[in-house]
Amino acid sequence: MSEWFYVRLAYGLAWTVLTVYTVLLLRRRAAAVTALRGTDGGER
Amino acid sequence: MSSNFDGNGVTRPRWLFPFGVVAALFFIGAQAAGLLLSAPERDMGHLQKILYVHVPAAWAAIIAFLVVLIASVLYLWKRQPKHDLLAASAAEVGVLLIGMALALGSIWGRPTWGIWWTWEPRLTTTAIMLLIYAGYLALRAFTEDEERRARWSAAVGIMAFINVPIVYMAPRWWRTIHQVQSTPGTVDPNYVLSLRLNAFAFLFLLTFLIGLRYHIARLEHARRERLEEHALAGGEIHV
Repeated sequence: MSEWFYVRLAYGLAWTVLTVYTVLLLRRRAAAVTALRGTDGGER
Repeated sequence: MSSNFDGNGVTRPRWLFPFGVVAALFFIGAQAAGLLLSAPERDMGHLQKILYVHVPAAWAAIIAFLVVLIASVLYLWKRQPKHDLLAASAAEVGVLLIGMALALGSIWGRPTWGIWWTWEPRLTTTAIMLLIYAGYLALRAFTEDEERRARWSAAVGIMAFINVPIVYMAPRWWRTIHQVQSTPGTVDPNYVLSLRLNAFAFLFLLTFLIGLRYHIARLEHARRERLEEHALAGGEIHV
């Protein structure tokens, strides 16, 4: 396989992992803010 | 357990999201520079471009584990939950990055060394480091009592760091197939700028991810405390 195949595989993996993790964190933060509001607390 | 969170909520760090946007833009620019501007290397050809994700990911992971060490020491010293939460946040991001660095190194190794994996000192000690910090996260997941979890985690967080300098020095201490550490001093001058740019890109990204993960940990911790307060007061709560 060509050099570019491995380069694309590496960058594709890195960007996918970082993007998915960041999106999951942002969603988890939104859920945590909502859950805290449910306890009469909140994010200020 | 005493709380370090005041009043009804958790303060959102105002720097976090603007910094995240800047970090993302810088990351895109640095990656583009590494991919598009660096010339093919004499022996590796275009494969050297993989080093702009593999090496900075490994460096960033080591910094994350240094944060785990410092926060763990601070927890045992001051016994404040925020240090425990910071250590856990940094460990999670560090595990992600070191796992990524191993996978990217493997992708680079296949066409360069002819193998996906070999049990040589640098790779083996790095795999052990991944397992140790994954074990740290597992310990946290299986320990319910918050104070005990924080104490045990801090102890593991400190001991785990013993392996980090061993990983870093492995190519110098033993005969390895892995080349010595990639630093501006050991890398061809043509590739130093792209490596530096991507090192800062990963450092900024690391700061944002740990900051975001820490903020989530504080929100979840504050919620647990509120629920405990409501339970003790005998009140109803809608969750």
